[in-house]
Amino acid sequence: MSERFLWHRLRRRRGTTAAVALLALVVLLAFAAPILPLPDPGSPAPTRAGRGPSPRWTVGTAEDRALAAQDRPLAGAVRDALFGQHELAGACGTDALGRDVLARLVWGGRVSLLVGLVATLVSVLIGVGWGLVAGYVGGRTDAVLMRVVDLLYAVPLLFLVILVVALLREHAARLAALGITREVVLYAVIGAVSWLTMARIVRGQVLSLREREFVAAARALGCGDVHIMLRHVLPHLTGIVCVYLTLTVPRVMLFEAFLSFLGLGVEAPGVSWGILASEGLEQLTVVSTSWWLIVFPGLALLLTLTALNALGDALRDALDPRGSRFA
Amino acid sequence: MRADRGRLIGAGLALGGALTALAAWGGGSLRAPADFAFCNQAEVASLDPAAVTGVPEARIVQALFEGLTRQDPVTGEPLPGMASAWTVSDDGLLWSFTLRTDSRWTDGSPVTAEDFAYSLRRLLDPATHAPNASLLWCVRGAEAFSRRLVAAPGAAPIASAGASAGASAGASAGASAGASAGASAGASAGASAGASAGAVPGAAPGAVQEVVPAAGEEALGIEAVSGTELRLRLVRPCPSLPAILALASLCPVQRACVERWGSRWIAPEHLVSNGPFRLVERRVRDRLRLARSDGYWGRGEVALGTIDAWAMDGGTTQVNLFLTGGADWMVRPPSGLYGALLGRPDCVRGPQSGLTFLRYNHTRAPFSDARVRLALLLALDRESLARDVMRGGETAADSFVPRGMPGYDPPRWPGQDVQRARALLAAAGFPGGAGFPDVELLHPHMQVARDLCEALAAQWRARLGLRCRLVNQPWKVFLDSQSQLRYDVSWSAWIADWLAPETFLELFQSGGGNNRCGFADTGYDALLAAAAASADGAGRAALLARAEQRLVDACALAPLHQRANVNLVSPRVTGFHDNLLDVHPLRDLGLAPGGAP
Amino acid sequence: MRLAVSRAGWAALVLLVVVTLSFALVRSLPGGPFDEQRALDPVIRANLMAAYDLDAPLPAQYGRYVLGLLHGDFGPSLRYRDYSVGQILAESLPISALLGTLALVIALVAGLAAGALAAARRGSWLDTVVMGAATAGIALPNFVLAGVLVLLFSFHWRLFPVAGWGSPAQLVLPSLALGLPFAASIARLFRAGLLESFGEDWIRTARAKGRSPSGVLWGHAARVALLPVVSYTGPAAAGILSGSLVVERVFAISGMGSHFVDSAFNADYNLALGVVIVYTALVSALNLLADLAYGLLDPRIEAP
Repeated sequence: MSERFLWHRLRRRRGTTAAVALLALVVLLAFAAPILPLPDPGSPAPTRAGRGPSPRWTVGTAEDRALAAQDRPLAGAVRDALFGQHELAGACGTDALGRDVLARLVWGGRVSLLVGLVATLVSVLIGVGWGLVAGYVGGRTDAVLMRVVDLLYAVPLLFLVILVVALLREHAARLAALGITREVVLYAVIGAVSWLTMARIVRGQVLSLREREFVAAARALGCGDVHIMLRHVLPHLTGIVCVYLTLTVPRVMLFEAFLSFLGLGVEAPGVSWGILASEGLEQLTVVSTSWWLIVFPGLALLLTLTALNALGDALRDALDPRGSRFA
Repeated sequence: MRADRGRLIGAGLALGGALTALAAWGGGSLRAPADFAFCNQAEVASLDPAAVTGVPEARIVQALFEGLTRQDPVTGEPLPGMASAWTVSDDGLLWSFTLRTDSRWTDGSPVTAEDFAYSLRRLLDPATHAPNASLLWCVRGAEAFSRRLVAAPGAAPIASAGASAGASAGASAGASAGASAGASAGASAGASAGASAGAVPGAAPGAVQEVVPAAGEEALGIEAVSGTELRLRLVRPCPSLPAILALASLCPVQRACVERWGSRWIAPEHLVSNGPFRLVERRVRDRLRLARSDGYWGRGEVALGTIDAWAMDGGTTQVNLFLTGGADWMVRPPSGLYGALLGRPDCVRGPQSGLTFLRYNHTRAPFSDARVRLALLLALDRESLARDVMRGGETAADSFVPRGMPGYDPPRWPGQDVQRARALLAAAGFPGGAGFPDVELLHPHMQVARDLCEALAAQWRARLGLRCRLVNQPWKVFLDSQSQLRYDVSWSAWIADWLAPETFLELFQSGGGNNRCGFADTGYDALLAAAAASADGAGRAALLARAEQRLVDACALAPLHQRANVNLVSPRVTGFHDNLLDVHPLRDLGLAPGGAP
Repeated sequence: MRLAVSRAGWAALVLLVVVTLSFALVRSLPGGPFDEQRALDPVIRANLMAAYDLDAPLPAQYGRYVLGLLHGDFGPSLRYRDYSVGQILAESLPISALLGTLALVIALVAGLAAGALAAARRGSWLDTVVMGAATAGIALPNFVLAGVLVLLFSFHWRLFPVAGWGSPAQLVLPSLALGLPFAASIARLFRAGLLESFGEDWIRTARAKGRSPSGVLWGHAARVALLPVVSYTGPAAAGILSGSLVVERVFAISGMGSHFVDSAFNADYNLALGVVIVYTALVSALNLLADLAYGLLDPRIEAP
């Protein structure tokens, strides 16, 4: 279906436009993080520790400037040109070490979104490939491949993931020599956990697509199986893949938050929303709640994931031939 | 339709019944709250004195059992425990302990010197594989006895790797008197090279074999002369022996109990103990309940009737439990909460006989260069780190051995000097930090360590232009990485179990298991050996100071700060004193009358 | 019957695969179970490893472990020296079972009620509020939710204790924290299913026959709308198992989840393996139950 028709169908659902706008904003902020006028997210500033939200448009410290210039000279130059020496400090408060929460939110969003996207792509790759082969080839291959999927469904993959991540931390040095950093391991591991549903759905779709005329025509023309799978069948899966991609990203981001809570997520000094939320939880006591440490990361996750879910639902309804009548 | 409804109701009733049964099964024990509850930091690894090494375990074991001596709640120094008095010979090699006669095990039998002889032998027995057996290796014959490889029961005996040629061992099936003929390579005191050959067939659990020495070995110097007198013969003077005997690993166990119940002797229904409290209930990773013991000699001095030791991990959860009244004492709140907690009147703080420092990997360039090590140390503002990052009352360290050790004045380490640091770095070939590889800064997965390392990295970056890569590992992996020397610089901490400088200085012995940094200096080792052999207190201290000076000159490590005790104690608790060792025996704690906080 | 038997066989195969995989993973974990701050003398360490059967070659260890499993012996715990894994599991399984079941019950009851309410009052403010809460429930990590619950009910209104397990008051917050996210999903599923079946012909027939709206809802529409809910129960139960890792940590409950995380970090191989095995068995059993329930509910499907 044409893009305009799709967009029209998407807009029929309440809130889709808002969701798309929000997502665009989040992605933009995350992308533009290096040029935003924010304090350094990683350097502790004990004199400003534990303050609630109190936005100030101030001049940044010399040490912060030096750090930023060292890491990203081009972005630093752009930032200086746009905002001079000023920065927006304390808009969402500071944490126990004095680090600015808004800065950590923005940089954490970068990491969380990146992890969400890449891990989802990994799972899409595996899932689509698996389902495509199983559905198209059929017969014994299909049976074996789907049996493996059934087996993996019954396995408590989470526990194996935790064991694997704990294990791979030890081999970090050896892996780093091969160019596999901690983040790459996370992408691979998280992606490897989430592909099962995708495989099943893709297989279902391919099974029905296989019987269509264009496949028979391509075969009659002498095209090879691989060619047919990739050039003819795969494009028809785009819709459903998009839907599940959008719906898997939130699950993956929640999983990353879960791993961060257990201490297995992104490594310090990296930040992610999951790390921020668990740090906020650690600061929750009877006498001082430091509510901003948990509310803002929570809100960030809530809004972004809700937007993603809404978009995914809208996509699914728009592409569903039966057409859901219910918002 | 009616059948369907009937089905649904039936299912509902079944579910309700299942839930009730489940609730009864999984609800846990409902007991009246104890007089006193505290958060014990973690579940104890074991209640067997011979198997414990950690502080949470020590608290419980020292409440259930009492050794020859016990720790003073005010200073941590040794006080008479089961031994009412002791004497030492002039050469410092023969100690004689007189046991009191008014203390009983929880099953009513008296505590005798034979119990102690049995327990100390059991600690040293290789079949018990006690991690802290080395505490008693000052006793004659102990080290050779402990360091034998034990064959699994029924398997052929194993000859140790360091045996001299011609070692042969005969296997015997019996557990006792299982001496085997074998040549022994001499085990030198203090050095770890060479274990004695002589395989001992696996003993039945709990049974301690008769100590029959192989040819050339000495007899074990532990002797129960009578029911109330115990003699220990040492190979070298050990003025800290009373302090060592107060530790949890040296507590006695009852032979009959251990031999009867085997590995289950520490279960609440079987455990026989001699300390101020007895074990009532234990639920793993939940709680331990203790109750005052009537057979204990000092029962008049024990104020608490029942105690609950919570075994939960989360720091914040423990703090919240304390703040809502669920616990009366909480050890070491997380440093992230210091801002909210330290100002409170119920926060008790003080210096500790512990040090946080950085280990350098002496086998890796450029950290093998003393100038680099010194530069990294001089560039740090340790006062700021202690005050602003740690915030618990830690003081910047200017020595390796923490201040407060009686009779020892440690040499000073240099203070902050950023100019000199930059000059040293340039002299070592890295002007302005150019060309210096990324520093791999290893630390365990603890918030305190992480915060400190992030601050360190920021300081080195700003002042020396060095980049750091923080490597954060779970505890076991971290220890393994340290032992395998897979790091550049590592966060480290060391706490003294008793107040003697040797507990710190032994860390840097060449090849020692706790070295973990590749530092090797024969002069240093010689000074330590000479100090160990010296019976004269002042002479010993002087030798140790000279040894520490060698560490200063080589900049073998980077001392950061002397650790601080931080305890949250409810105001109604009495008998709680802050001391260097951070020991607070449960026997000496009480509650103010009235009970309301 | 045949289905049940084939499922059981399948579950056994899954268990074997899981055991082997986990065993391989766990035994290759570094750090050893016996490393403490103070280094062990090498001879003592060798004796320790021999006593715990950790120095035999891996295949031999594996063989002995599987044989032990068949006798119901999970081996000794390497961290809690006074306990065998079986004893720890026996102590913690009831706790986790109670917590998980309560969470599942809360998820079902709250989810079904909320979904029905939202569907019955579709388009009203109640619908918006309920669906808004449900959307939040699936977009927040459950430890954030747990934190909010503790903040409100333990700190602000001192209604429930902060942590621990043993008294009825201590059951409430953990079960809520664990079950509410799944209640959110169930509410959404049930509402969508109800709305869809409201348009069906047989519903209109029932209305025409004079049945009350709630009677229509619960007697007819629910039966079909429950199908996606029931098939969600499988993943929900698995999610509750994994969510319990977080909730048990936050509320300091000594259930199997917290044992698992603890043992993975402390290299307590035997306990980690034991927990994985028990969880696999549980998940397989729950999946079987869900399939049976599915068959019971949908009259169009043959009962097994």
